[in-house]
Amino acid sequence: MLALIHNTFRERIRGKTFHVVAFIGMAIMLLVTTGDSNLMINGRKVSGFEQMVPVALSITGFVSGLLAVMVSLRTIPDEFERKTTHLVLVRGIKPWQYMFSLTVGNMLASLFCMLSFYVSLVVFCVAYGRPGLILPTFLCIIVMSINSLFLSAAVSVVSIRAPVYVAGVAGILVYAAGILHGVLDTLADTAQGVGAAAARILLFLTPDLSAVQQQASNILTGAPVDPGPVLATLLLLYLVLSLTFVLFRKEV
Amino acid sequence: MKAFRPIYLLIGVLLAAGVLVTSLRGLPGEDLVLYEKACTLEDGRLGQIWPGLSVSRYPVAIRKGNAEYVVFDGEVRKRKPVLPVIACTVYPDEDRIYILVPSKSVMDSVGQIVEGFSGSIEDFLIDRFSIEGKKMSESQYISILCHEAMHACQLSRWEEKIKALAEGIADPGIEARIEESESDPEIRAMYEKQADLLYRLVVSDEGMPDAEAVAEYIRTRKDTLALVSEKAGIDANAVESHADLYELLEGTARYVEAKTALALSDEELYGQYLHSLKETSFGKEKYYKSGMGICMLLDRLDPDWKQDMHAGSLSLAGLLENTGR
Repeated sequence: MLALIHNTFRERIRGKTFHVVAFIGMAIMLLVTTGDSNLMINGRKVSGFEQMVPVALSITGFVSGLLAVMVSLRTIPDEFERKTTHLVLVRGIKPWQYMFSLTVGNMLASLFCMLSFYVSLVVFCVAYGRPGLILPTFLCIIVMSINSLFLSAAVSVVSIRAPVYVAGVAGILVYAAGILHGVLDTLADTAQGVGAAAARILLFLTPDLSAVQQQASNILTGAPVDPGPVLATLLLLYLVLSLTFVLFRKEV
Repeated sequence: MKAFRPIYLLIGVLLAAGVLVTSLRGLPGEDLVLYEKACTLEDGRLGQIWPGLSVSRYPVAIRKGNAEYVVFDGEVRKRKPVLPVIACTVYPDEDRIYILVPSKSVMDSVGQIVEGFSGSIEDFLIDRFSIEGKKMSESQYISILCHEAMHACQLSRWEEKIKALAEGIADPGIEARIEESESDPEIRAMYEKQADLLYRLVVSDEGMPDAEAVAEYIRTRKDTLALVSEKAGIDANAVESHADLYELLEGTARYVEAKTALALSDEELYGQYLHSLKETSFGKEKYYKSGMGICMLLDRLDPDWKQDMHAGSLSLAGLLENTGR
């Protein structure tokens, strides 16, 4: 299983799309942390390195979320298309071990991509003489990576049975619903009837990615961290990952 | 490989236990802290804002999700929501007056919904994707809690006064007709003039407001109401009762809200309340603002005006007219 995870990870990191998108993301990070931007938040101009750090982390979270979806999209369908599945299964590897390894490989590639963004931020923390920011930003990134890991796992699991484009759309929808979770929760609470019940079930199954981001922000600002949303997202990640034990394609 | 399954299972059990423990915590600590902060204002500061104003005297139902946490007498009791709405309001139940407010996290979301829909959708999305979302400040939340406490105070003390004003309105469709009339350019111009006069009176540096300027404001207000009555074809007394009722109920509550911000030493927030008077509003919101502005003027004209308000049957504008002479 470890060999399969390692192979998947290496293959994903080699991917051309990954490198192009990662390069664009890093370029954005460089512009944000170094440029004298005209960015305004709540009517106030945001300038100076320390003020730009949360902005850079927000961009990292956003780009990493999209990358997690893109990185995880094709891994499993490609294995079936190339008939690699057959070669792996005849060596005695069980289908669940195979799907689990591919999914974990995708998750690790998404994590790597997030950390690669973070490296450029570390460089700038040192360059601006703010090494004290390295630890809080690292903890912040680790918490934020839970969102990317969930998206990667969800897209991987959907791609076991569904076509690539369905998995992609599902990933984007889960990301949007997760980020707007608090707002959608409030709207669902004000609604009544069957639609409201369905909305509540869907929201129950979607992690509150926005709340996880908030905990990451609390680490950065030194505010109290609520472990609830982080644990809930990890539990959903666990459940999604467990689906790899039961899902497989009929054609091998 | 043999160890994989038990370890994987153990991770699942630990995560499930963690989620269960955190979900059993009930009302978030943040909401209780804010409630307690509001109660600390009862050290005399709330009494100065409005005689008899109190938060702890009433059970406060804080709604979060599908549950309501009633905080009263040092206890927190969980129950099913009594009202099927997410709103800040007060309601009588079991011989008590309850204050209903959504939890802070829900208020943050509601604020984002309102700002997202009324502001630009780009700002709303940028805010959602950033790690530090725009939120309601603690002072704002406490001020709103005190706004509702003022309504609870009104329900228990001004029942007769409210009943008399409500009877003067008679026609239940009057509100919609008044709002329709606000699209008339002449009426809009009058409301704008009225808001401008009040704003300048409230923010003026003079200790005592200029009597002539107060009289001009009162005249403009009367002319505006007369014009609304004429254009909307509604009885003049009904239009006046309508304005008086909402200025009394919501204007005093907004005044309490602004003064609470000041009591919390949040001068920036207090400044926002003052600045809001500058912008002309329509619908019920205009009464919130004009009522608040009149209260602020009365503070300077007569320090005992709140006692007169409790005792007499005059409206806010009536009191201003009498005091300003």
